[in-house]
Amino acid sequence: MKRKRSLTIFLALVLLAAGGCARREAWHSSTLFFFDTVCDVTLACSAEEFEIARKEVERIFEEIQVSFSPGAERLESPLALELFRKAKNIYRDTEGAFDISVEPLVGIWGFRGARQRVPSDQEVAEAMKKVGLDKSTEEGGRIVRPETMKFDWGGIGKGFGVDLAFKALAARGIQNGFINAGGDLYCWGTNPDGVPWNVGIKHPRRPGFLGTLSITGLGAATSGDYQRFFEENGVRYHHIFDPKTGYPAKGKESVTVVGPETTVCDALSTALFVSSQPEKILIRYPEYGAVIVDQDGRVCSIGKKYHFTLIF
Amino acid sequence: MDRRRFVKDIFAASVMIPFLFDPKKGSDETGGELYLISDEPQRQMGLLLQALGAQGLIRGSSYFLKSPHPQAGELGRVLAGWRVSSSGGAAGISFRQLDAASRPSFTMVQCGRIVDPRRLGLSALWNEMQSAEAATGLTVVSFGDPASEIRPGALAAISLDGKKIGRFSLDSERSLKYAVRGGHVIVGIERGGVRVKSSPCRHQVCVSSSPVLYPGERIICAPNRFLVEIEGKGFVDSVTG
Repeated sequence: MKRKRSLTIFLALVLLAAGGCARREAWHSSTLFFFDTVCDVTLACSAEEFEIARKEVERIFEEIQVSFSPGAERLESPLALELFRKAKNIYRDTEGAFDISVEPLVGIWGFRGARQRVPSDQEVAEAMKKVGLDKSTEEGGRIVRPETMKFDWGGIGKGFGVDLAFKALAARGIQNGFINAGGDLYCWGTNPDGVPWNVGIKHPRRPGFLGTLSITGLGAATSGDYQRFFEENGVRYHHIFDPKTGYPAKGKESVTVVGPETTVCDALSTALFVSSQPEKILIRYPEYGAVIVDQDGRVCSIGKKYHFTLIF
Repeated sequence: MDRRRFVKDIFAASVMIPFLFDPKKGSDETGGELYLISDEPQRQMGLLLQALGAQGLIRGSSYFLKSPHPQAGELGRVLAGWRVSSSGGAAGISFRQLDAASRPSFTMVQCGRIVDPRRLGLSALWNEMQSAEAATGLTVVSFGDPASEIRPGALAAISLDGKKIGRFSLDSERSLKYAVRGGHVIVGIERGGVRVKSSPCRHQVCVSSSPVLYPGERIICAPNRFLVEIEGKGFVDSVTG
């Protein structure tokens, strides 16, 4: 009897020690391929926990990709409805500067295929007839839109995926980490040095960084005219369209938005890029701040001030 | 007499600079140092930094202590709004005990020259400090140029499908060829950086990307799941844009 008990205690101790080892916290990183780009997940947790967390992020990103890739969108899914509501709110708050219905423009400018080209004014005018998110509504738990209307979720979907992934990881008790889906990121807790995360903002014109953000518990996203573009007769045509004109938005090289939700950062970076009055938009988003590089390379920060260091 | 003594102390202190700081980051074009002789630096620091900020010297608002400072706690309170950084920051603060007591004072050295404190509009503070009791504490705040702390990487890594398949140094110019699903990606090492010279992918986003030089920077060819990344401990954890 006594021997049995000591054996039990011994076994319990062995199990405890083994469990203790396996659960030791360390930094783990993984590179995933989703949304036509590279995604990084870096977390402080045990190796076992990281495996589970990585699979969870993959599951979420897969679901986002299936739900929101062009043409494959599921308009009746709860996920689509949730993101549609967010997109419509931002459409309203930005007076149409952010509009997921610009998809026909992406098509005629050739950004969906391999050959980009400048369309005729006629083509742009035709495509513009199909643009305008105010023409779509939510009825009986379904998105209702004109037959010709198509959505381009590219300006909000990745941010949404990052937010969902963060929520899932936070619910698992992971206290330090970051998720970066092609530049749309969320970071929380501290970095491996025990300080807030240092996020480099890509310089829109030369190699290296424009500056660094030192942030935590925040998301960030960037829209730039250098990400997808082509040149014709010395003019740069990029992939961020002004939903009011049908042409690539003018006046800026890059806009980075920082704030509590990556979904909102993602959409706002596009809206501020397009808008001629970005300060006015941020009045409605007091928790968000932006670093803007204008067409002459001048840098300014607007809205809520976060820790940003400019590199000269 | 006081002034002469002070300048002497400053130059005595400047002899120690190579020991306190990375000499490469001394009084370069954009950096500068503030020498504060005072046993209560927390009383003057706030005003001085404010005045220097107006001079365009302070970029960002993070600091780190280069040596244990007896007034670290109080300085932290004066620098409210500034962030303590473990590895680096816009300003590095170090402390040194002077051999002989001296009149409390401050001096700014910029581009290797002493800047007249009156130019900073701090005459009142200067006079007040000069009439205080002699002190032995020297606090040096060095403002580095953040860019000088940023050095290009020496190695780059190639990953395919999330697995590292190669690694090369950036010191000699050449081209490297990697097999991917649709053909080959050709990577060029030029002027200490890497760029993608050609790729069989559709959108050619990788080919039109800027060259990468600094640790943490990367070029992605998503269709081929091909990634080239500059290795090394960089000053960024992640990148947006």
